[in-house]
Amino acid sequence: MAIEKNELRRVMGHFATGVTVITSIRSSGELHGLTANAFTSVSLVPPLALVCVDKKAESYPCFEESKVFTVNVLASDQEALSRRFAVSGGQKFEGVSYKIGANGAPILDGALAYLECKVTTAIDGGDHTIYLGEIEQAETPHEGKPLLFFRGGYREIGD
Amino acid sequence: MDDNLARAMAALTTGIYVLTTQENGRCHGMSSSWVAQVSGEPVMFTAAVDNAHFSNGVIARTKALGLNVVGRRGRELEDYFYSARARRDNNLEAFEFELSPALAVPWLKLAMIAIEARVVDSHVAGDHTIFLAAPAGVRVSDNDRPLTSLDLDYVYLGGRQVFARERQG
Repeated sequence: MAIEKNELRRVMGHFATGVTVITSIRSSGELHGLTANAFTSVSLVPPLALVCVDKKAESYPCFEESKVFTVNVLASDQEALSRRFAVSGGQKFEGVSYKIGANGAPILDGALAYLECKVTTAIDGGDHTIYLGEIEQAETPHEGKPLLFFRGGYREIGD
Repeated sequence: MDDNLARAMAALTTGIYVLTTQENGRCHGMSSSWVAQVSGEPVMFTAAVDNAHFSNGVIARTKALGLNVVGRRGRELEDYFYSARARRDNNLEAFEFELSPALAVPWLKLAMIAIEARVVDSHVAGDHTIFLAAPAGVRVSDNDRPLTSLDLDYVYLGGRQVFARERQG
């Protein structure tokens, strides 16, 4: 049974997710970050999470090179930050408050939670690469509602 | 599990799904939240399944799974498949379902969307296996709002561990 591509994309948009900015750092010290909703927990023992990065993303070479990433879970009032990291080009970190975490990747101020990961495996996944990371540190610095994404738009709890 | 890690993992918002399998006429479903879309071209998603779970072996053998998206109006699916009542083989008789046209995996009538998918790759990752799957067919039956982990009073952390959510207000 053939599925019409656009219909399939629309259907996949019903996957409800939180919104994260995945950050990393190149060996040159250059910081990178991109908005991602393709992430999930994978294992409890050891604690593992995965993120999927578009092979065409400007930051893709950084993720290929770096062995670390940090998952920043965005709050409902951080939609602008999500949009900022969702586009290519520009100085994404300019004017953004952050600190450098233990793994060298940026931790964004205001994020509800962050998970610092060390890449253990990269898996080919079509037009994306799946990076599997061991969670080395995790914190929930802020209380609040998370930013949600489904059906192609940003949502809040109760929408 | 470290409390900080548990809280951080609980902060990851997920959809709520029922993964279904069928082998030799025996149909099974399991509650699942560790699902993510991976690729747009071709469309693929991952589902992480506990290595000790009954479904893991079936998916590995049949190379097929059903992904049933649970909406708010289908909340009883999560209530059942998360419960101890569902921890057995052939556990779908409580719900109406049909077998999908291409891969004969169960599509639950109460699910707002049901997908049949072929497993194209798998990787053992700690105590779970990541199944990479490509949709072969879909059924859209309800324009509901997807149920999320935020709608539940607990968050699955793997194995039998859950995180009790603190409700505010």
